[in-house]
Amino acid sequence: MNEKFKDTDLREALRRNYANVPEMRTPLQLPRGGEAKTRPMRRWLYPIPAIAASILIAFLLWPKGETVPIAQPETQQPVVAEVHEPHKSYEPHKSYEPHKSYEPRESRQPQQPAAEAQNTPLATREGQGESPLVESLPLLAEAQNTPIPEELGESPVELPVLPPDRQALVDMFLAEEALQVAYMQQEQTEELRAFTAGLEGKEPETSHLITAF
Amino acid sequence: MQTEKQIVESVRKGEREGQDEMFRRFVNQVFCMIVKQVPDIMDAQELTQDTFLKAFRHIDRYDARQSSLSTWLCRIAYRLTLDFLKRRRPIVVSIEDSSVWQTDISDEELEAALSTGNEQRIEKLQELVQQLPNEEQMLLTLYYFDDLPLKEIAYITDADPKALAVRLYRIRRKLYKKLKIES
Repeated sequence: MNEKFKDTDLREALRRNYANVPEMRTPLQLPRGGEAKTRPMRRWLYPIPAIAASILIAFLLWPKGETVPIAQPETQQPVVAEVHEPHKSYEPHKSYEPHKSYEPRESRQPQQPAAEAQNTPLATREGQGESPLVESLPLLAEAQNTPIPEELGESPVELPVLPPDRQALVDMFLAEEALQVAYMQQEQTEELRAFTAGLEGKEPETSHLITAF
Repeated sequence: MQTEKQIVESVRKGEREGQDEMFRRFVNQVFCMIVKQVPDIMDAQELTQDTFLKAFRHIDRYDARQSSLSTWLCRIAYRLTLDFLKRRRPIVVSIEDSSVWQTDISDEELEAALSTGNEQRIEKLQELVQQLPNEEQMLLTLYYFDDLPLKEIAYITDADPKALAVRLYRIRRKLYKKLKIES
């Protein structure tokens, strides 16, 4: 295998074929920028692009904080739990009247049959022009479209966009505060309910509120 | 005068001087190898430059124990040239590769048939060589024209030396059969 075949005809044929091979017109030069392209990166520099890429990806993927208008604070707080309101008629400083005589309300006489009332538009009900509700609708629409004067209302203040990590802390803080308020309301409700039940001589009902926490 | 080892070390460090020296020393050899297969001189020059750029980029892969620097450069040039030719010309599988031609002929018989000194036969071989696929042309060039040992050609073409010998035999046999048919 190491011996070369002579094959002189084949060698001569190849030599003739390549006799007219063109030569370089001008001495070739290394292309510019070759050094920069080929210079090997220092090994200790390898982590830097990786870290930069990680930070960039995390920044792009992190949910951005939104401005929170202060004008409607009740809509910003998440509803953590639904707490029953205490009985409105309860007044702790007044004496309780457990056996108040029942007085049925005065019976209302329907001015129109129920079926007819359902099919009749609001504007023609009672047969006396527009109802107060219908009359108030244009006023309401107008009021909604009218801008609030500067002296009466404050322009909604927008908070600056917080960095993602701080926004997350704020969200956690708000959620914890809402939870504390819910607990306090629940305790008050339970106390009131127990007090009411004691006055009525009943056993207080067990609460099923905020069992999730 | 820098040695090959010094040149390689310099290129590994990304030094411009080492790259210039390597380019200056081997550019003609690489260009001559490419231009035999790529007649367009602009394409050949571009492939030559690509060969060196690739060599600089992958200089860490060069192992002086396996081959000389020039052989390693030829290996890169070989691959780039083949890729270039494949993109430009579709691969043609001639019918001569079919089983009709698989009859065995001894090496001695082939050598005698390809060493006659007959002018007509040489001219015919010139034509037949040009009709061969690119890879086979390059193999013949490396073996007969550049006169490289089979082991070195195997390194350049990334082939097993024994398989390469078999392939060389088949090319010679193909040429012999064609010559026989023509005559």
